[in-house]
Amino acid sequence: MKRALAVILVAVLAITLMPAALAAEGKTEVVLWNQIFEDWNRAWSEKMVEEFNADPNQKYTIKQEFVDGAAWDEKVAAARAANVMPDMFLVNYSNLKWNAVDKYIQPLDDLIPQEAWDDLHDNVKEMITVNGQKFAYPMMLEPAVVMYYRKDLLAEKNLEVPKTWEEFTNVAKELTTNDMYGATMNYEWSMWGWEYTAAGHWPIADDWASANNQDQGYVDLLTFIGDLYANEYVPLQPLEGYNGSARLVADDSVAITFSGSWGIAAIMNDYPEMAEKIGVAAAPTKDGTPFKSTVGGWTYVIDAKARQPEGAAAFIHWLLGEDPGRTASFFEAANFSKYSARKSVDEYLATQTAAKDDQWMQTISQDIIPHAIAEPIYAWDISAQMLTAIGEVVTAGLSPEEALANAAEQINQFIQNNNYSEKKPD
Amino acid sequence: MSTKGYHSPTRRMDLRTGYLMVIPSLVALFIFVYVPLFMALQKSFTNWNFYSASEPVGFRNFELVLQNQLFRKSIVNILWFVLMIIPAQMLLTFLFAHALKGMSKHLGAFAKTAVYVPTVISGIVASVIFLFIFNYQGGIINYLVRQMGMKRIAFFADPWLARGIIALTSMWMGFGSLSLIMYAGLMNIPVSYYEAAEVDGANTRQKFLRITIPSMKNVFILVAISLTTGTLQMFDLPYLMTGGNPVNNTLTPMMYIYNNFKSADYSMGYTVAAALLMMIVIGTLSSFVFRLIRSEKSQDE
Repeated sequence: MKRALAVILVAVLAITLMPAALAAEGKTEVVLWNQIFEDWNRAWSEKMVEEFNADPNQKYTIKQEFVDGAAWDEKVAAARAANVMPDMFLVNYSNLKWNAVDKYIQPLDDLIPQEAWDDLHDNVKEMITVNGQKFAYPMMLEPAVVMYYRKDLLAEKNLEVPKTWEEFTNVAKELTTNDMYGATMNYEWSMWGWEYTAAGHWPIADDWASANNQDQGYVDLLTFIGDLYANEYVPLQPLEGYNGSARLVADDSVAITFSGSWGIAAIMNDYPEMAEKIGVAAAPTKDGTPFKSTVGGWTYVIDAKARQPEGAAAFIHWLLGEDPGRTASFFEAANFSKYSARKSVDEYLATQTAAKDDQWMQTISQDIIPHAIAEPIYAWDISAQMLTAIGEVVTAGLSPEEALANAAEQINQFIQNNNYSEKKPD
Repeated sequence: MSTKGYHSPTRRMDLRTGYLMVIPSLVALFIFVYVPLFMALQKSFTNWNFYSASEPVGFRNFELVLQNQLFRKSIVNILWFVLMIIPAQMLLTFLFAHALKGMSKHLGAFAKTAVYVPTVISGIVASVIFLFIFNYQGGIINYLVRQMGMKRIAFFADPWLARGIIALTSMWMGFGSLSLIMYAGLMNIPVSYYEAAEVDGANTRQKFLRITIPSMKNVFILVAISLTTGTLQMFDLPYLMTGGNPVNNTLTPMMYIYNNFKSADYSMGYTVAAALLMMIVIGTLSSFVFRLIRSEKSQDE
């Protein structure tokens, strides 16, 4: 018993004194909160932190903590209230602007070298800039709408990969059997890309002063989706949440589905034997013009009250903005299911890695990423009204015009109640 | 009444001991309930942001909550759940308690144990069980439906079916504990009442209406209030089973508050105001239930 107590006391002292010991070596601790995603993602993050900490040229040592996504928001809210936020943490692009507006994060313009900023694609810089200041260094991009299809099933029926809604409806009809649906069409947050592509604008005016969702583009979109459900070419109830839908083509549930580019990693990890039978393509549009998928992703930001902002910036620059090979290792670990925001990393991937032979990556890089748009940042209440409109067409039998009019009324009410036009950030 | 006994040393010592026993609970209640409640009330009148100074906004947060279409929809949804669950659950548990009362000792013991099992199952597990049962692709119900030659039923794509399944899951979870409470209430009615009624020539219906129901009023209040507050605070079942779908028809106020808590669209003051409004709704409905059933003291007193 005494021996056990002595061991425990020594362990407690060691843990308590470790930060001091590290400080004694000249390294300052910087705290990072990361989210728990796929196993490969976590393994890569751990390896990178290990490498950084082992580098004798670094003045800082990173203490990485993984937080489950389901508990993330509560943990962050509690930490902010108690003023114990980490120095840096993960955030997705759609939340980044509001974090900046609410002054939860600090700009990085002066903390990261200019050559790193110059290496970013121009359309990506817009996603991280608020009021002229850059609040993150982008880690990766993930198009939210990629069409996954069974090459073998289309070939059996001599069907081409659909590029228009009419072709898609026809393919879904031909491939629907008693045991398999032709396609899926979940109407969740991913509908942003469909909405923007169909109408050419968001369902809210550019100045956020009124709804803008009743033009023909939106009517046609709701008609297209309503017809798919009315004819039961798609399951009447989602077989899987949108984020996990890619597996549906791999397990013979459907012939065509939509999910984000992260679905590639899910297929490669869980159904590698099916990879050869699955193809990817841009989603269809009404007239065959390029589909504008929203592109999201995650990146690291520095807390506004960070104790070691220079240390956090040093790690972010080392990890994401320095050696292209180091950053490219993330995309290799992801089986090229995520895409780089940097020109030099794109070049490295295209010439130095297996990416150059990866058909999926080539398709997404050439057909989807160049047309991609940033996720909208207006309130979820507005997006929810658009999903309600789709739901009213699909489940309640309303006409698209009626459903969109209902949504417009609610959106305008929301804008008026919240003085929303005054809240739009620059 | 003699005051001498009231102020006697023994009485004073008893009172002192009583207060000493209660003080820890009062302190805990103060720290963990009243202080947070007061702070919440204060924050609800501001645009509370953790990193910036909060500014008072008066009743603006409450106005915004009450004007929000999703919040109002969630209130309508939860009232539907109250109407679906409470009458049905009270009737079913009352009838089952009667059946328990008439069972033999061994059968009754087995029935009480068996019916209590769902009570100890968490909402997460119950949600998964019922999701499997009603699964669109491979659930047992749709398997049987397909065997009968019919098309699959999209249970969670229809607002009323989705509500019904969530209500069923909630009732299944609470059935055991509430049945035992009803059973205890029935067993607590003195047998002499029924004997006296028989002597007076009362039939079964009269005994039920004139003895059983009045004697059970306090138990009905306990069950009804528990069901009301529990249902109004429903979160885990709809969150896991439908996420508020289809089209927000199973969105509950607690889910709305939770979603807002995570969202950057509103300040924390707004979220706190929504929670306080729900507290008022729960209190109001509970008072209404209390008045409806009209508790009476035991007839022995």
